[in-house]
Amino acid sequence: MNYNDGFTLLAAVAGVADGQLTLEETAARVCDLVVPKFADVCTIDVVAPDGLRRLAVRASGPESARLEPLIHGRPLPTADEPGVGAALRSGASQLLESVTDEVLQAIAADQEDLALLRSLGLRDAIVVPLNARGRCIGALSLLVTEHSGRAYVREDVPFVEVLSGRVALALDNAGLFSELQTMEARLSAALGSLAEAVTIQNPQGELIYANQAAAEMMGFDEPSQVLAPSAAELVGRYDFYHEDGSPLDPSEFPGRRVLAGEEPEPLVMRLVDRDTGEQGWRLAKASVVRDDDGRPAIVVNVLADITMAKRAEVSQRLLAEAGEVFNSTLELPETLQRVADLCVPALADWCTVRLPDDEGRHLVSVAVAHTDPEKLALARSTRERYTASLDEPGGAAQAFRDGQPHVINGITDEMLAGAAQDDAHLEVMRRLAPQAVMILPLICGGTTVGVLTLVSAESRRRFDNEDIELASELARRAATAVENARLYTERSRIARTLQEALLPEDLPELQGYRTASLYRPAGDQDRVGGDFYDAVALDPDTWLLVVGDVTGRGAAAAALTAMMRHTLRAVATFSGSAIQALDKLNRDLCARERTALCTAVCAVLRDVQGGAQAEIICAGHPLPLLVRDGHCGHVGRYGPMLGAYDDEEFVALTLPLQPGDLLVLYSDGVLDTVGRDGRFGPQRLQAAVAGARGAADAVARIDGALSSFQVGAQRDDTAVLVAERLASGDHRSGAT
Amino acid sequence: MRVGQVAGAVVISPAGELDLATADELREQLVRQPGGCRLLLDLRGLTFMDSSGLALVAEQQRRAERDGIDFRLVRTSGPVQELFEITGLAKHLRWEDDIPGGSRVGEAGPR
Repeated sequence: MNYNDGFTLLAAVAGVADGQLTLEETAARVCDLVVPKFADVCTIDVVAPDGLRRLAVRASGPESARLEPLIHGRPLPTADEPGVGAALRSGASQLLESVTDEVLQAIAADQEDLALLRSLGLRDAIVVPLNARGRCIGALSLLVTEHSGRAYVREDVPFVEVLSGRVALALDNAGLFSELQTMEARLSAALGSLAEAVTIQNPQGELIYANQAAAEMMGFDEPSQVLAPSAAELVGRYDFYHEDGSPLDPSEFPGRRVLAGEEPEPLVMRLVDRDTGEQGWRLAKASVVRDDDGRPAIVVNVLADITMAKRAEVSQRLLAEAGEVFNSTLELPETLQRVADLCVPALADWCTVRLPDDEGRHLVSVAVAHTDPEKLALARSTRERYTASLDEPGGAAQAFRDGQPHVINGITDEMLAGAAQDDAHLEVMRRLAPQAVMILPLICGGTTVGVLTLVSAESRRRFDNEDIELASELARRAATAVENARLYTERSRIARTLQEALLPEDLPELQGYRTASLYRPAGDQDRVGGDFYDAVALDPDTWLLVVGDVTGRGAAAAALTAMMRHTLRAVATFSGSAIQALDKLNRDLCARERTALCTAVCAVLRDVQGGAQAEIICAGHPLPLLVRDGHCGHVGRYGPMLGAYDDEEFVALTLPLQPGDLLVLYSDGVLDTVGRDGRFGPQRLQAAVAGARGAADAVARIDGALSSFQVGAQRDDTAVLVAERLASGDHRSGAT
Repeated sequence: MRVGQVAGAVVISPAGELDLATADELREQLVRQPGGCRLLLDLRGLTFMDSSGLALVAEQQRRAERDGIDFRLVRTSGPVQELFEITGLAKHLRWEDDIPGGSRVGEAGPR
């Protein structure tokens, strides 16, 4: 035996001992190293719990392929067999030199075995027990035959014993490895029964373990299938998103970040299967297991499927937010836009709300939301150009007519081509790349008021029954909100119309005067009522100017305003007396069941000998202002308000008017306008009109001063009526 | 707004601005008071009042006459008091200069 080769052999066997091979693989490798350089035949038998087991056989020569299975299949030796049997029994190495036929007969288990042994031409054999960690784990047998003409001598035995020590170590390690494998099998059985998906990555980020839940979560039947594709392919099966809808890069996964040395928080992510469009939610956690040197050995990832919980949460939040939105605004366009905004990205990538136009012939897109701002602009551009005719088949029009939800998963290019109105439309549709669509009619009180369209595009998700249910619920609520907003808009319109009806359409032309008026309704226009102004001819040369104010707002106040205005107008016209008109109004108001308070200021403009005069009657109202030569002051005397006590007396104060005089009648809304420094008040009003040149200028100054002073919405109606006395030669008169 | 009991009378003391936006809160307190009671409306905490406040007082005065409520107001100064004078309502109402008994209002009362 060549001992130089022997050292190489020992080193090689040590190498085998370090590798992570199974027992069988280790034994086979040892046989390969030994045959043919050190033996013609090598066998390794090990002690197993249920007896001896032949682990490996290697034979040299042209007959090896035929012989190896035969040797492998030989009956296992009994204790009194002179080779393996004796070695195991005695624990001592056995050297069989120049084996005779008698020895062969002792070794052979039967005639067939004897025939096999004879055919080998066995010459010498060394059988050494394999001892590892103080116990005998088997035997290594090296044989030389007549074919090679080699021989073993006693001096060879110590080397084979050293060799067997190394082989025993290698086999023992392999045994430990297989124990580890057994443990892994147990671990994997334990992990396998977990509902959470567990995967283990090596430091290179490659997947080395996945449990059953992980396999199923990834759409496979078996964990082994998960390990087959590379991680990149695996990740490629899904699109990942953050909770807020933004795309999630795989580098952000907790597992990757752990490998990068970070300590990431658990991550909630939404994933969409690229093939099926199915969407799910996961909570991903990762922890690192370090080796003795503190380097990452493996990363354990736990992915909990929180789809059910997350869905419930998303739908609850969506519906709650929807409730808030619908309760907080009544403006129709705003309501619709917020409906659309709510749906993106929680429910879809792209959302459109469509309502029928006034003629009821087309569905017009009134609100659009999209996760991608660029696509939003694109989607908006289509709504201007392309409207769906209400009688066309399929799509939104169909859903609108049927009152039934319409869902398509897996939109094809043919479908797009079918729906597009022209080539440019098709081009836009292709760029928007819808994958799936839910079209939900907005139904309120049995009437379809519009259509909500939810489209999946970038996220490639498909819509399942739960999505449809959620969207339907949202549509139901949106429909109610749309209807409320519509009623509100309608009411606002009626209110404005009513308000306008309370004011004179145009101030009449007053001989010798120029008039101007200002009306600033309160901020919430649906609540009509409040102030009014009027100008009534008592006779051809006599005019009654009135500014009135009814407390409260709303329909009742509006009715009262109308009643007040028309009572004053009628009685004053017939009696020719403003005082009689106020008396009548006061008694009428006091007779009402409900307290109805009003204030009014009247100015009766009358031509008298050599000029003109104004009779000022104030019924609980702020006193008018007289602007003369750039100076401004109150005129008139306070009198009782209307509607409180029926025995009140109203008194007129007479005031001569000069050309250029401005008489300014206004409601308390002017004085009570709220600004940064408190209320507008009488001083600011006087300062505003003091330098006014003419009626129109006075009104413009008041309007400007109020606008720059006011903070926030206007709380109260504001009415101003200004009469400018013209010079006698100036017959131009008119209203602005 | 404070609501308290002083010497057998209910004292309601609105504070701040009394206008269309805040009148309902005071109205609720006023209509809650039973017939036959003594009711004092202390105006001294008001910084502003518009015709909504006037209407409320006039309304309460009518109800007081109907239900036998002893309804009085504690006089204040400035624009709020002026409004009662300007509108001629002042002379129809019964006024006090202070809360009878002199103690501070509503310290122990619910808000």
